[in-house]
Amino acid sequence: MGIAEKIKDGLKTNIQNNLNKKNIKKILNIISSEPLLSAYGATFASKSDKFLNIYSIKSLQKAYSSRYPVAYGSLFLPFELFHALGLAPFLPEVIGGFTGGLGLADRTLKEASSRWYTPDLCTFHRSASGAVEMDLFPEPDFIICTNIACDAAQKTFYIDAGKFGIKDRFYLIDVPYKKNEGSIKLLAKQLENISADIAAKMNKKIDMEKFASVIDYSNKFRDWALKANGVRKKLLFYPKYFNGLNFILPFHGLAGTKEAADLYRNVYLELNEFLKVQESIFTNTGNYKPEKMFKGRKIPCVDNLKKSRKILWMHLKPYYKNSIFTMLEENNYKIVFEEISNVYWPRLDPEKPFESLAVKMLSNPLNGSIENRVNAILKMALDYGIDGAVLFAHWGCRHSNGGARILKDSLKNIGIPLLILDGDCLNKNNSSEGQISTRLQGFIEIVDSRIQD
Amino acid sequence: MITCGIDVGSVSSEAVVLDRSDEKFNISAYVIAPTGGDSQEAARNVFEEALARSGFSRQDIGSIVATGYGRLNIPFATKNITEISCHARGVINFFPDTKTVIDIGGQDSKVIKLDSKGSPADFLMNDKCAAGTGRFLEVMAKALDIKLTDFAFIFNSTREKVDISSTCTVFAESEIVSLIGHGIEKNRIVKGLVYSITDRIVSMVERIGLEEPVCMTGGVAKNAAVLKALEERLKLKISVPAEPQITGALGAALLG
Amino acid sequence: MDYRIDDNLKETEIKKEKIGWLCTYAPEEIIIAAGYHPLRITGKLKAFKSEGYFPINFCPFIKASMEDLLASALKLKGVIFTNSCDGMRRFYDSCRAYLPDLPAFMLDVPRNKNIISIEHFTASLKEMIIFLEELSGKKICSHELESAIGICNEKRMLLKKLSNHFRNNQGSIGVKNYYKILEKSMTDEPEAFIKYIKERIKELRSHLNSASAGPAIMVIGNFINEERLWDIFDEIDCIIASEDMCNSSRYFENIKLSAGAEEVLDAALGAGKESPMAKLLTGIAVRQLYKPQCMRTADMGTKIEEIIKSITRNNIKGLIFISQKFCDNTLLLYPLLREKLAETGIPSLFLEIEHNNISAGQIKTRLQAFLEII
Repeated sequence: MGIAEKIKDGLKTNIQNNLNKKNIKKILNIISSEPLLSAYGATFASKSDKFLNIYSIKSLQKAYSSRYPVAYGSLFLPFELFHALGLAPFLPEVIGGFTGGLGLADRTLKEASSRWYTPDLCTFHRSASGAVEMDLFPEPDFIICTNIACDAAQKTFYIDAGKFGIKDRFYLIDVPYKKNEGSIKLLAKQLENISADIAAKMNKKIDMEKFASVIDYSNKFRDWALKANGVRKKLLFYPKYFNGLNFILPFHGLAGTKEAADLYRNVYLELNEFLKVQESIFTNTGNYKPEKMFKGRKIPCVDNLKKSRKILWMHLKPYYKNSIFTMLEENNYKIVFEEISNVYWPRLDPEKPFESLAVKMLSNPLNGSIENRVNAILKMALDYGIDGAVLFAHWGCRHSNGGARILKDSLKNIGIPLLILDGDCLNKNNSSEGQISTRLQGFIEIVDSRIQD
Repeated sequence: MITCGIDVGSVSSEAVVLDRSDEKFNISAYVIAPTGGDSQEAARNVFEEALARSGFSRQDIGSIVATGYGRLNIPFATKNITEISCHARGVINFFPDTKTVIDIGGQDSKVIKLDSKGSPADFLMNDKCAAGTGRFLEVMAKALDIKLTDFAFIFNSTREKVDISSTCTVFAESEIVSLIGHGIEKNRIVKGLVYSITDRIVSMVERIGLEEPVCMTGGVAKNAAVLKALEERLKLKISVPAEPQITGALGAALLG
Repeated sequence: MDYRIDDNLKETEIKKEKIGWLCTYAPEEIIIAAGYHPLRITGKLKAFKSEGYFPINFCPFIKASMEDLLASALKLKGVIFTNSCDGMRRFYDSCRAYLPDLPAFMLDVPRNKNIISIEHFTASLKEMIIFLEELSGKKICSHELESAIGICNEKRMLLKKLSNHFRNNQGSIGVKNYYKILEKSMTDEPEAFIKYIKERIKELRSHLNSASAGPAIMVIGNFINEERLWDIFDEIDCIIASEDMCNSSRYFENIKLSAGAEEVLDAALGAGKESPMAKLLTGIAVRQLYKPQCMRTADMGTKIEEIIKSITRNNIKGLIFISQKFCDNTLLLYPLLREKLAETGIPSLFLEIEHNNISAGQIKTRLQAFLEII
């Protein structure tokens, strides 16, 4: 994130020392004000970096403000629905992830374990549950979840509904295993029924006009994401701040908002600028001057670019300080694409919003058979011409790790090595830095030696 | 050229000084010593000791390659390479056709798959717990009050084993204490323990796909009981270098 | 000398070709109607080779079941998987990837209970029929399915009777035997099992032992079929007065639909224009979705109500919650259940076990201590 490290550390310490909902609310109010942030000396690396930070914070501030109806949502829901219904989305799993970065996971996980959540369960869910028990999350009006991509989400969300006494406002969107005409119809019906029920409980009707505009923004986001992904098929010279694994909110919680579309428009524009520079390096090899910088980044020489190794990253990353990404960088390894940046769904039809969203959910490669995920990954591997892939095997993530062997063998069939990197996205005590660095370096040695041959 | 490989593990550190002036190289000296609390100091000690034994001086050494978990923390090393590549290289020196390397060290166990040229093609490491490592065996031997070196004899003395269900070092230790409390013979417990560690390794081999010939390295390769159980479970012969513990350091020296 | 049921549980010979199944949401009646023998896969072998296909922290029951399939010891013609949990999804995938010659079908089971879910599940049952018809090369007709439903219901009713005897007179059956008989009911040919169990129930009626000693407890779990564990229950003084596991009550309960389920069935059948086959399938769908729930279903509140009701009805003094390790659905019921139990003052013991690999000494100590407390 681009906020000056000092401010970030200050806020971190403040939250750690004064951990309660009121203080979180206060801090969010401060940091969601852009002028105030600038006054403190916060700077952003670029527009997209700024938008990512500000929009994420604003969306959180909205959920904490008590001025809007709040709905908890699990990661793989179509959040277009939330925005169409005027609900402020709150994503406990993502915020659970933040606890890792804020150095709070120790406490939330400890709380969860004292409430009999066994330590074998996924830390995203355990940390979120711990935070609910500690009363750190905003009070929800509705709780909505889905069986994509895992079992643990539905269960923890149900427990939350019980804690807040809103079991009658708990919804599980039960996505069928297969995508076909019948399942699209059934899922669309579910989405429609649930939306109608939520609207009725808020004493209003679904505003179809608003819905259409949400769908429109979702499509705009999709267009920009596709263009940005297109640029990345060639891009090796990346902005320093860029890490595709940070863009969870625009793909999920902010889906269907103008903010997400604007944000990704800027991602595209910025990456495209870097691509242009990169192309000029290849065309003007003679004019290369090593000291030249572009937007705070040293322009690499042709050889360096040619020697870059291309990596596809699967699943998520650790949210606490770690050496993985610097290590990749130092070895000239570029993450040219991430599984989570994949635009897997077709354009939505504003005339048929429920059906379109049903199709979006059913197109998620994490739903149903692993074949869906394998096919999606193989396509990414070929599209981006990768030299290797990394699957971050987050502790307790059964659906993903359970398919690791198949993913590995499938990639092996097309000659691509996969590193299964065991670790924990949140709990640094459950990840061994030494083991991770040995595995990563070992993998790098293997990929390098293959290419030299 | 003279090169040196230093393998700093969690339990022991090794250094190998290699004389590569001829086409056929010679191990001029090697040292194995406990790592102790300070890995940097351990590295320096084994290096200096090996140097002294080899008769070469510091100036003669062309490159010093560090490996093992302490590899990043050795200021005098000229480069560092993971123990994955080093063990592979070391093994190929002794058994050029090897396709699978099983390395069981103090805190880590690894299975490394080699391609037709003897380079690592894939590898697996144990998860962070110490089950299936040398440390596990040590703790259990202590709980049983048996010398590790006696494991092989005891292992062969009985056909029966008792199932050890815990794979976690802490729980396995208490399970053993409770088995002793129930009057179960120690040799059956030893047998159970050996199979429990072996099964962990075999599952890693299964995960990566077994390919022969197989070679075993690391300190635990000296344990004849584990070796025998592994051969039995995998239904094949496993070759072991004369001094399996220095394979990593030797590989490092060869890659220097 | 007290009476003890004949526990000479010889395996009966199975003449028909076998279709394996794993989860009680898979309706055996359809397998029988297709002319096959429904054989429950119970994870008999200790996970060894199967460890290579799954991560370390992964359902041990699935690993053992994969071992069964890898060893092809069961000689199956095909397997019906169910979309019951993340683990099962990956089990199905691994079976398809690494045992490509074994025909496998994934039955999609909804997590909600409403009219859409019934429609969804019925559609999935229709696909299961097509899978089996293609496998056998013959059509399933409605009267075959009807007679298969009859057989399964008779078996369920008899198991319910057996469980009543077990509840009231544990000593005459024995804990280990009881669960062995239940396993037999899921693996033997139904007709042969019905004959066997009818005789046993007749004997049980005429041999009433003096009541067993110990407090009444409830056992809750997923697939818990550990001889060494049940041995311990036989050794300690307690009465399993209520149980809720997928290898016990959840397999045979709910032959008669509840009033709520009847209503849903009526609504699902609508104008009654459906074919006899469609009617039967809708009936099966309603029965399956409205039977005592698995922990995977959306509405954990109802599950907990079911448990609390059973506690009151059976005068339970303590609850033993046993879960396979790494079963997210089951493990995540416990925090909620524990809170509810605290309100009623019923103590509970939480046990995590690994299929085919339990540490008997430790469990015995914990069980004994728990009984001392209650």
